[in-house]
Amino acid sequence: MSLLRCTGVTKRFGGVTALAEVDLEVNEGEIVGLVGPNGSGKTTLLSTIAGSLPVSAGTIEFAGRDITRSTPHHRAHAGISRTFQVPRPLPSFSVEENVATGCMFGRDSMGRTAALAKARTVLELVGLGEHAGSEVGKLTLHERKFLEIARAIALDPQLILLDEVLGGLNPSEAALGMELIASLRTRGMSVIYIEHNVRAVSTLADRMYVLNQGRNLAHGLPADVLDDPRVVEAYLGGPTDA
Amino acid sequence: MNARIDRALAGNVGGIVGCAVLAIALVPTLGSDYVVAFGFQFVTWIALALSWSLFSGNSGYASFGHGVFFGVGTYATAAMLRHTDVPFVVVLVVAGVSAAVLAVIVGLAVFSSPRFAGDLFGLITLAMAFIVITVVSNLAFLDGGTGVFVREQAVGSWIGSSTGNLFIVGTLIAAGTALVALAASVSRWGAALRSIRDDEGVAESLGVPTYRYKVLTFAVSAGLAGLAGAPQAIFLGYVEVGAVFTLNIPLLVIMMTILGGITRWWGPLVGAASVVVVRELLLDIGSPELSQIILGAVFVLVIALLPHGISGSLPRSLTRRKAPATEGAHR
Amino acid sequence: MSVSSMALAQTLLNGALLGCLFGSIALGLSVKWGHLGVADFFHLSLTLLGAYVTYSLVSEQLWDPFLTLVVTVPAFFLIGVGVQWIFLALKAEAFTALLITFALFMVTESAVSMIWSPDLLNLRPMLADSFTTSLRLPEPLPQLAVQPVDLLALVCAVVMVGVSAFALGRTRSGRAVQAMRQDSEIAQTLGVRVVPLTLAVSGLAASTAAVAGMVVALRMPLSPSLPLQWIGAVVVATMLGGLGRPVGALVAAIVVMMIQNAWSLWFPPQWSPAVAFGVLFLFLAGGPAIRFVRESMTARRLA
Repeated sequence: MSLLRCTGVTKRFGGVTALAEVDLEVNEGEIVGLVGPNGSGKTTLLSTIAGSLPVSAGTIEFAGRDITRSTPHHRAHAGISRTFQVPRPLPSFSVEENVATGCMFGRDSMGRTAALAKARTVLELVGLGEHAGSEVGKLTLHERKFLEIARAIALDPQLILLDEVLGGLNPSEAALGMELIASLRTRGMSVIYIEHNVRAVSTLADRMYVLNQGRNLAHGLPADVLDDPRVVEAYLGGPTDA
Repeated sequence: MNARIDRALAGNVGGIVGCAVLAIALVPTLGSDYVVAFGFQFVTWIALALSWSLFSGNSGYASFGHGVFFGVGTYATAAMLRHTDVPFVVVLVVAGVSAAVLAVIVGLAVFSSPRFAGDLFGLITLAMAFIVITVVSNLAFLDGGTGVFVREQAVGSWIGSSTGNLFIVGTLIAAGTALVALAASVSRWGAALRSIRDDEGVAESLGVPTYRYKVLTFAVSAGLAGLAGAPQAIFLGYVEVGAVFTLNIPLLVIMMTILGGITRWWGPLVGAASVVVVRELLLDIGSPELSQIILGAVFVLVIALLPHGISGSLPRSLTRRKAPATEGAHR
Repeated sequence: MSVSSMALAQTLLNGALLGCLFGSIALGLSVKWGHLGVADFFHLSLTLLGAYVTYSLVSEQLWDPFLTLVVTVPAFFLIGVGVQWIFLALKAEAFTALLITFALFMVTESAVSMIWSPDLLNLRPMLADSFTTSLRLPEPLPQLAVQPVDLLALVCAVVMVGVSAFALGRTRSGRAVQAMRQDSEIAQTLGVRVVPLTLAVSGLAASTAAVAGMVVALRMPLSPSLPLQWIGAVVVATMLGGLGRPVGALVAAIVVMMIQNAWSLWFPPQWSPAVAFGVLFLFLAGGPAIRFVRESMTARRLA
């Protein structure tokens, strides 16, 4: 059953068209990979789904409701949460307070005390339990990336938007991250997963979408998409496991 | 953990209420006229600093308009006393609500677009001061440019009968403001505001309705300043645009909050107390200009040397011992 | 109320010339705000200080008003450099810098009041007649008159704004300033020496306050609270003109003052202080509206 449906989503910045009539659909319980060369509009599409960028044209439906004009916090309450490509922890909050903020204002809003308790279980889940009381400034890059995921999980979303959460991590950290992403499905979440590394996406995703220059280039099962000559060409004909 | 927060919170509430009760019981009966008058100004500044920090300190939207809300409360009171016979409680409510309504109107407009953040928010609130000054000095109902004598209007009522009664009202307002500030520091409300200060985009993505929180908190902050303005009208006796809307008020309030620090709810309280005492000491110099210069220089030094204020510069271990509630709530 | 066209013309002319003065003040604010990121209230205080220093040198030392610039311009350059150096040393964020300039603003008001006196000081009675006799415009508009001081304001504004605009737009250093505003790190790697350049811009901006201050001293009676009366027009002109754009600031100041003067012909003049801010609010509210219209028009064209 369809959870998210983007139809003809277009985003213009002044005279530049960042997204042109992009369609995308996510079913319940699905992990959807979103790939494309740099500047192809992946993050822009994510931001229009999360609501931080208003679309110039097109519609976005979530769980059967039109959310095209909803504010980001309405979408968060409806069950969409996101991570940021460059981690943006709230600097004056401790690690657990960062996560607790998501618990407090997410899908089921809760008081401060309950939120802090829930935050700790989420942090355990992503392996940051020992850092709960730390200042965010003391975290390493990989811990910041996992904090982004923890904060997104804290909202208790139906759909979670992951923006290059494994970028810049070493292989063992990345493997942990992939395990974590795979586990989200068992917790009842659907996932849109952006990654530059196409191989990583193809092992996790049920289906993949490829964007190129702000347009849909291809979509389907990962194996089919990777064999598509247009996709290979979009990546300059080079090996796709860059 | 939970019980510790609750116990510490109860301690803080008890401290605020206890201080207020003690002050109300002791100051008007034992203090000289000078002490009571000083005490009144003291609690008024505490209410102003805490209410400014409630919105601006927590959210990071620095307002230069706090003096306007205070002044609106003062003028609303002057007008009510002049034109009506209602009890002072009603006057108080009108003063607070008038300031809050002005803040809602300004807030709805200003917070609707992200481009009015930062410098621009400060300037727009400053512009609000000039517009309100123009309006007040041109409406005969409020002032009309001649000033308003309030003392005569209040003669014969409980509130007008002694400075001690003004002190009681002022203390209640300051204590109420402190309770609101405390409530914000330990609740979702404060978390929402501080997430706005840290990163508004992230706050929205975490489900914080930033627009609503900004408008409502701006209104609460303004309303509390308006309340504080009500007894001020009677204390002044004669209200006049130049004195009521002076830019010194927002400057001093900002200075108090920066000096005290915004990382603890009681920071502005400490800052207000320090600035009021320093100002009182400077009065002995006998030159208002010189004391203003010293105050300005101290302000610049404070910004340079104590960017996190007094409360933020205390070592954590010390604050933990002194204020377990805030520490428990923040950690 | 009917207003003769001559009265209107004279009012608008006066407004435009007063606008030149405010434009000269707004110039420094605009450059500092736009290019250094500091909304510098202290710039208004410097202008006032310049006016008072001019007053003293002319009335007590009997200097020629223009000669005072030899002292005030270099002195103010140093003050501008010093203030900016403080901001750099403190690594002050925009808001901290704003607060500091606000504190300096209050300090200067008190200091001026202490040194000179809180009362009005008027230089005009001591000036030569050539400064104070109003001039008639040549044919075809002989009914209109201008003050020589206002012409001086016009000349100063045009020269300073012209030089600033030229320097920012056409010279190598000016382009470096523009690059610095875009991204100071990139500018640094491209070989722009950010610190000296920042200090120099701040110093030059402060120097313009010396010139504007001289005009102020010749133009109006001085009182320590004058900057409070200027804030409205100057800040509004700075923002309407676009931050960091000298010509924009001057044009906006002229327009705002013309509107404000014309307003007082038809409406109670005591409301006129709010006019400048009214214009600003219309502009700020109009901005998104204009953008919306423009975007929907491009959308239609692309569709």
